[in-house]
Amino acid sequence: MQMQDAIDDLKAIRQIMERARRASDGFGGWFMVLWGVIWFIGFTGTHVLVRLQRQEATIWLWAPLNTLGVLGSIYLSIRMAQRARTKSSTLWAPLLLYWLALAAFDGVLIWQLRLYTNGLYVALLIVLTIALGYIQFGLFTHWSISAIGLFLGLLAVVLATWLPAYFNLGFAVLGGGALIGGGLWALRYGG
Amino acid sequence: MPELDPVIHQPTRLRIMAALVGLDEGERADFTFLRDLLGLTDGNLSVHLQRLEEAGYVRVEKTFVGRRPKTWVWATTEGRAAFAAYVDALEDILYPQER
Repeated sequence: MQMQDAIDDLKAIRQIMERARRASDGFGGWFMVLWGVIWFIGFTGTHVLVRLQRQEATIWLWAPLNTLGVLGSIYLSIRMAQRARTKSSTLWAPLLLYWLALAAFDGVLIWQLRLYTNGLYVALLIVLTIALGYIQFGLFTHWSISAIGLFLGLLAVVLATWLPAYFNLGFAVLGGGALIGGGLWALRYGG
Repeated sequence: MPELDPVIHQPTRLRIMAALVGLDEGERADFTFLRDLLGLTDGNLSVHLQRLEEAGYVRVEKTFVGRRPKTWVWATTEGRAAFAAYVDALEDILYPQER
């Protein structure tokens, strides 16, 4: 074998290994892009509705968006499980149950602590719960997911404490943007 | 000149092994995932997988998901070791004085 052949072979090996890793785990990136877009639309719409003093209408914004997100997540999970059976693709069923348990937990807190009287409290609780979920999931999969969770949690606390009037708009741009950016990063570099 | 494993040296089989070793140990790839990733035909992939399986480098498992047949492929420990040895041999060709 000539030296150039060895160089070409090693280059091809590295490219294919990288492509295999990205293709098998890349669906995680699509989840983040999906929810990033949903957050961007949802929080922007919430900001506008709050400004128009139509807070009660936010449920009609978030209900279809969340339904779309859940259905999209189920579709992506099925696609993922059908391809490479990787760490993250085999986790989808327990992961779905985990997110449902967190949602139920939040629902009980909102109901029992009457958080529904303040939209900011509800948004803060939900965002912090999602941030916690990302941090935990990242511990078992890829550090970048934990980093995004940490960023979302800190962002929520900073906005709620110092810029509550811009919580929704801030989360639309920075929170949704972090998810979309993180998702695109994961699709490009794996993770 | 270091010895190159003739089973892995074949270009298509080298690409198959690279894709399977690119997944973590214990992870499996769906046949169609591998076919699409490498741009092979069903028949071509089957032939080379058979050769790799005979060498003990990959395992192929046919199952059913509901009523649909599903074929899982993964690199064995021996296959990963053989692939690592092949990469070492390529690096020996490139950097003989460092080894």
